[in-house]
Amino acid sequence: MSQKAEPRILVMIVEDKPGVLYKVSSIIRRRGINIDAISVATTTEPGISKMTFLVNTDEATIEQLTRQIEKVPTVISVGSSPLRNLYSKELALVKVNVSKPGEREALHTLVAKFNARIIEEKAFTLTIEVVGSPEEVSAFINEVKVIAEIVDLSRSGPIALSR
Amino acid sequence: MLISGAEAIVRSLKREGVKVIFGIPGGAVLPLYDALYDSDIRHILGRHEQCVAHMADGYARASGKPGVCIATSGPGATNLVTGLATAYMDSSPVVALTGQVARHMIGRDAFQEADIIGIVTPITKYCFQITSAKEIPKVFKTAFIIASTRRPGPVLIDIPVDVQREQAEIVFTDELDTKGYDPNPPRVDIDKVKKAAEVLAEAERPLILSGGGVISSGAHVELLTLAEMLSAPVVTSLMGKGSIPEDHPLCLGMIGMHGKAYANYAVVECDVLLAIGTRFADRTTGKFDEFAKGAYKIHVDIDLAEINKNVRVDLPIVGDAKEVLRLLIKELKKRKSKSRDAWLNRIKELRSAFEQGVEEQQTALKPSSVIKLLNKLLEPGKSIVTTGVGQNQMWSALHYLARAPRSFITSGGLGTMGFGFPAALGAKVACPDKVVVDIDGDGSFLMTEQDLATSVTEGIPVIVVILNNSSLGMVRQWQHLMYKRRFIAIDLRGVPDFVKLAQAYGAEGVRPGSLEELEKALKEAMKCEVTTVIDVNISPEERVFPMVLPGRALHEVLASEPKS
Repeated sequence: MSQKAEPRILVMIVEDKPGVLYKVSSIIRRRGINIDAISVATTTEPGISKMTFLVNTDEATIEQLTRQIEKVPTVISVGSSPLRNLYSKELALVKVNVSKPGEREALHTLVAKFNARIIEEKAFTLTIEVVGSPEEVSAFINEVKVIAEIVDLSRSGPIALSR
Repeated sequence: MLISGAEAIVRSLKREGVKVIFGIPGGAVLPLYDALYDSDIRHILGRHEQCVAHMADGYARASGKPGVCIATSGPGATNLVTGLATAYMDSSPVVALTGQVARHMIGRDAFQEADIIGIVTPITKYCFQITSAKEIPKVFKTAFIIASTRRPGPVLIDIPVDVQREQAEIVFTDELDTKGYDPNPPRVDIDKVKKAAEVLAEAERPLILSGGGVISSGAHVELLTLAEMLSAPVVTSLMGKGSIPEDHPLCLGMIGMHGKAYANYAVVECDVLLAIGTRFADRTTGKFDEFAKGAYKIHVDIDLAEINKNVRVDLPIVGDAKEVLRLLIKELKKRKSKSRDAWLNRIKELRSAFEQGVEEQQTALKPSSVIKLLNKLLEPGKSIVTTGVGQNQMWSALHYLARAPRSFITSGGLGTMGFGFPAALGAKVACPDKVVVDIDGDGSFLMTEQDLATSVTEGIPVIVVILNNSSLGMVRQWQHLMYKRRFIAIDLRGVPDFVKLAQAYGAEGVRPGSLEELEKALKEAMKCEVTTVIDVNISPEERVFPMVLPGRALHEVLASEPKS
């Protein structure tokens, strides 16, 4: 069993009731593990939601977590996998200040390179939407930083599907 | 027909077969109490909510049926917390009902409002907050199912006071309010049982470790059959005491920090360990990595999350203990087991080596002589022993012979001081025909003694034997052994006078001066219609041995006091 900590995804199908997220996150917190990202959304079935957690931990710990979470009566099923074994996508919205000459053009080039999209263009700001794997989104943000000043940023955290 | 939420609660409790409730009323549960007025459910008024939770727990452990307690909102609910955490750690089916402020007041810091769901989520198997009277039947059905099936545990139901008053058309149902909980035990993988049978039949030195799961699944008969079939000695965890008659020749008693030294050595020397219904608690195993190091380990447990949590095992079998043992016995009948003569001789050798020197003079009022006297006076199957926590608990575990399941009740996992006495009251309510004895310490008893009032006014006679060393004895022992005898904050100075204290409550109090006087006092207490507190003065220099120091392995057990 791999004792290496790496980004792992916990996906659970849960009943859409108050307190489920609290119970599950308290199981994770109790073991001193930080949750790097969460996304919760409804599914095609009424009353059922899907929660996706990104955590950085080793295989033995994630197995223990999965079994503990499985016991929660409002959790219908739970699975985990290293992030690298999954199709995972993340959405980010990035608002950038453009004040100096050349910045706007450089950003347009970068947006094209990453298949991103400009969703709002104002006199002094650009708002960009980028979708990609968590690594791609991070790479995009790093390159934006080199060009101009980011004034606001919102990342969705990854959602995932098995390959 | 319209009925109130409170009435729906009482009817739901009746549908679950609840005959007795332990509780303390308050503003946010008054509608519920008003509905109880018209019901034949017995209500036992406690004096502290921690105690009503322990009483419900003691009731559950003695009877195997869920124990029910009630507290009001805010401080009533928060006082339950220690009791619920105790039940959670020892997998005991307790259903706690708490009042809550009215729905429109929740979150406004109302008088006696506490976020009890937020507080108890990590220490309950599950908890509910009811938002409409219509939900009551479904929630109660689900709560009792969750508390008492699979691995049992406490469940809390929080009920806003206006929901109790709400009039509604209420339909009673057996439908469950959960999609993610299967009350049926997990399906046993028969191939794994076959493999276990094969390994056990071939074992030279098999050993069975029996835990509390054997008792809660009612598998004690199967356990004994299997042990005799295999000629395998049996050791237990603290929670497993009573899963096998402790006077049976194959039973070696408890292992662990204060386990029998020869039982610990049996773990060290066995080649196959079959652990059933135990979670490998650190107090049971000593250092995890060293535990039964050379042995092939088979772990039977109903809770998948216990597999490989503390000790890595070779063959996990997830399932109900009784079912797995039955299947295992069936498989073993097809196989011929090896002779265990050499192993049983070795066990005999270990037993006599460690028992020599431990035999002491049995006339003075010493912890061991007091408890051995109880072994003589208490009839198997007709008595229950509960304990406090600390030295009194470990002496009881070492010397008391639990000869029937559910006859030894103790706070194992959480180690809650003050548990013994209220748990004894709960056990006595569950089993009024049995003699119930709480072996306690002075420090431990003092934490919940106010419920002597409950015992007297509600007519629940138990016997409290205080092993009184005028100190927090186990803390003193640790300071003695590990903190260079720098004794601090352990001296209780013989206060209060427990005989007078008992008398102040209208109970009996005696202080015997010799073993003969103790025997006489116990015999009288067994016939007495009120609770008797027997204050036995022992020396603060008495320490619990054997002992495996914290963090050490079982083979490092100190059989007796180290020479200093």
